[in-house]
Amino acid sequence: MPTPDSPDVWRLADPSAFALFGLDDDLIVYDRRSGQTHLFNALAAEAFRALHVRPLTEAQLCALLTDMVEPERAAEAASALSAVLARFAALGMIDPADA
Amino acid sequence: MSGRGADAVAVPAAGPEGRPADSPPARFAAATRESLLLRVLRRPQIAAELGGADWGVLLVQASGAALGGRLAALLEDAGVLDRVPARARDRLAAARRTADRYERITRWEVACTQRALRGATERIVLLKGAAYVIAGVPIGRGRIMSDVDILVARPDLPAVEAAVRVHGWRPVKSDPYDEHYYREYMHELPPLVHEERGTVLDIHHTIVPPTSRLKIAGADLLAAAEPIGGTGLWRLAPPDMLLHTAIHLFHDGEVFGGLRELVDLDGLIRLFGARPDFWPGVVDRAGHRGLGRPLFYALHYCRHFLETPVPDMVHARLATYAPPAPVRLLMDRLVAAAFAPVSPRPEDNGGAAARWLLYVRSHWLRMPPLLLARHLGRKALVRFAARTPKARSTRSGRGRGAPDRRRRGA
Amino acid sequence: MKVSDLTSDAFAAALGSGLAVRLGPFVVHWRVTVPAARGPLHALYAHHPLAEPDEPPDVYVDCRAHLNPRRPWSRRIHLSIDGRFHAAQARAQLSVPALEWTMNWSLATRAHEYLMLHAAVVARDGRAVILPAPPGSGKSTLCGALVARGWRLLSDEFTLIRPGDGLIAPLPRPVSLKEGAIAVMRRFAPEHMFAGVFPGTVKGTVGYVLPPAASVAAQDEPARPCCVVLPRWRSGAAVRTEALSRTGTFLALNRNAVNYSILGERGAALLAGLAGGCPGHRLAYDSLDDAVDAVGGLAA
Repeated sequence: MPTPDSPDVWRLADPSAFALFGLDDDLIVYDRRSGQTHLFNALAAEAFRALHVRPLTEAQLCALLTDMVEPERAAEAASALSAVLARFAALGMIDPADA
Repeated sequence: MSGRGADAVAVPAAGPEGRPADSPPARFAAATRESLLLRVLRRPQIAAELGGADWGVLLVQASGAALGGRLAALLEDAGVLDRVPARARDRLAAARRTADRYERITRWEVACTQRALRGATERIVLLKGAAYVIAGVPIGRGRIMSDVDILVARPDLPAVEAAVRVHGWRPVKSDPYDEHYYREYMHELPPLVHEERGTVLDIHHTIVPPTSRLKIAGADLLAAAEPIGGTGLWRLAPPDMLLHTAIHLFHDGEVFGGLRELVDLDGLIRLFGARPDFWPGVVDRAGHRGLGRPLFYALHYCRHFLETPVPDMVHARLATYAPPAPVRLLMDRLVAAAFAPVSPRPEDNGGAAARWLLYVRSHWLRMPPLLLARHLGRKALVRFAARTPKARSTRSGRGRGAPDRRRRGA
Repeated sequence: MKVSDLTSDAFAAALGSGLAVRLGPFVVHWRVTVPAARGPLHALYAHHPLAEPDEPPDVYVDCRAHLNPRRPWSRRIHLSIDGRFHAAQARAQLSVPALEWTMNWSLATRAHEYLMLHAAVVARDGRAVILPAPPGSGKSTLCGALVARGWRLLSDEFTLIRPGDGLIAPLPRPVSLKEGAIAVMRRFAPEHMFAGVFPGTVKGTVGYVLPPAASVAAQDEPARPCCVVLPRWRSGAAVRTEALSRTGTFLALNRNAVNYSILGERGAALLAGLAGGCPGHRLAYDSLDDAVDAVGGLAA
C-alpha cells in the first residue's frame, strides 16, 4: 500500500492501454486490457496525467498536486491521493517502477 | 470411412433447413453430417454459394452451437467474407464482437491470475480456451469462453489457493458442505469467482474430470508442458491438449459437450499433426488404461464429421481401443443426436432427437450392449419415431445408473 | 410491398408458414399460428415493408400453441427465438405483448453492430432527441405524446447508435403504454390509433400505438443526435428542466447502455462523443403538453 513516505516510484503499467476522453474537469479512462471504463475526478485525472508523463513517487505527486489546490485543502488532497494511488494499483493501472 | 449403418442410408436432398424435415432417428447420423453447418465447417468456400434462406439457417445453427465467432474467423481465413450477403456479414460481425470481448476478458483474467500467483508456484499451465488465446493459435479466435482453467502442481495447491484468496477470489459455492465435498472426495479446489470482476477461475492438478475413474498424474502433464513464448506461462504438450478435450467430450461412455469441442479437436490436429512427436505421443497415451477409448472416439468422429486428416496408421492403431461394433453403432447415433445443429423451427429441436437420446441412454443403463443393439435395430428405431408416448414411459430418468454396464458400454 | 398490402387471410396464412418483415435495419422472420395474434399484428405493423426475397433473417421468432400431452387441459403459448424456447404465455389473447417482449429481448441480445441504449428517440428537422429512462419513468408516454405532435418516431425502446458515424438508426415499432398512460394518451391524442389493448399481462394492462406511416417510411434514414433528455413524470409537478454536466450525461447514457461492454473502446468513444456534443437535461413534468413544449425548446 502506498504511503507518503514510501520510496516506491510509480509508473503507468502500460501507457498504450488507455483511451482518454475529457469531459469538463473529469476524465473518462477506458482500459483496453480489461475493458473497464473509469471515471476520474479532477484530482485522480491530474495524478494519472502526471504519471503518464514520467514515473513519480507519492511524495513527488503530492507536491505537484498540492500546488494546484488552495493551502487549506492541501492535507485533504494528500490523503485523497493516497487512496487514489491504492485504487490505481488495485486496478492494475500502475506498477512500482524498478528503481 | 468404415462401413457404418449411417453411411448406407440414402439421404434425401436437404430441405431449406439443411436436413430432411421429418428425418426418422435412423437418419440422424447422416442428417447431422449433411447439415449446412457441418458442410461449411468442412468446406468454408461453399459459403460463397449460399442463398439468403440458407444463410438464415446457417447463422442459427452456428450461434446455437456457440460457433458464430469461429464461423466468422473461418470465412475470413478462407477469403469468402466479401461474397457473403451484407446482412449475414453483419450478424457474423456481431458474433465476432462478442467473441472479441470474451478474448479481452480472458487475457485480462490470465494477466491478473499470473500477477496473483507470483511466487506461489513455478509453473502455471493454461488449459483450453485460455491456452489457445494466449498462444495465439487459430482455434483461439472467435471463441465464446467463460472460465479460465489452469493446471498447477498438486503440492502447490495450498499456496496457490492462499495467493488467489488474497487477490480477491472466493469459492463459488459458499456452502461449507459443498466445499468440503469438493476437497475431500473430489480432491479438487472448488471453482473460484473474483469478488469484483465476477469471473471464474478453475484451478486443477490434473486434466481428468472429477467424476471420472480415469487417472492421469499431474506431474507427467507438467513435465511435458511447453512454454508459451514471451509470457512466462505454459500450455500442455499438444497430445495432452488433444487428450484433455477428448476425455471431457467422451469420458464414461457418454457425450458431454458438443460440436464446439469437436471443432477444437479438429483444430488441434490440423495445427500440430505435422509435428513429428505428435501422433506417436497420441498413440502412446492411448495405451494407458482407459484413455484409448475416448481418443478412439475423438479421432473417429473428427474424421467422420469434419474430415480431419488423421493418418491411417494412427487410426488403425487406435482401432484396438474401439468398442464392439454394436456399441459403436449406438455411440454413432448418440453423438449425431448430440451434435445435431439447432434449427430455426422449434418443432425440429428438442423433439424426436432429444427423446431418442434419452431413450437410448436409459436402455443403455439396463441392457447389455449386444442385446441393446439387436433390440434397437434400424427398423426399431424407425418404429420408435412414430411411437413417442411409449418412449417417454420407458425413460427411467436414472442418470448415472449401473456403473459396470456403463463401463462396458463405453 | 407492405404488410397492409396483404389481405387478412393472406397475412394469416403467411404468418403461419413464415413471414419476414423489415423492422428498421433488421429482418425479423415471424411464424405465428395463434389466431388471436393475427389481427393486432396486421394492424400494428401495417406500414412496415416485407423483407426482400432472399434476405437472410436476423432472427426467427416463433409463437404457437404448445400442447403438453401429459397435461392436455393446459394449453400454453410458446415463444421461441431461433428455434429455442424463450418464454411461455398462459393465455392466447396475450400473445402480442409476449411477442413484442420476445422481439425486444432478441434484438437486445443480438444487435451488436450498434451501440444500443435503452432509450426512446424521436426527431424533428433531422435532429434527434434521446430519452433514456428505466421502466416507470414515463418515457413511452412522453414518446407517444411527441409522436402525436408530429415528431418522427425513431424508436420507443432501443436507440441504435452506428459505431461508424455516431448517427442513430431508426427502429420504429409499436409504442407500448401501460395502464394509466393509455387513458392519458386517449385524452391527449384521440386520433392516435391504439391497435391493441391487452389487460391481464404480467405488467398489467398494456396497449400499443401504431407507429405513424411517415415514421416507418423513413426507417432507413438515420438522424443526428442533438440532445439527451431524462424524463421523469411526477404527479402534480410543474414542468422543470435542469441541465446536466457532461459527466452527468455520460453516466446517464452509460447506465442505460445495453451492450456497452461488448462495444468496448468504440462504445466509450461514442458515449463520450455524445456526452460532449449533445447537451443533457433532466425534465420533470406532470402535463404532457408542457413536456412536449419543453422538449421542443431543448432541441432547438
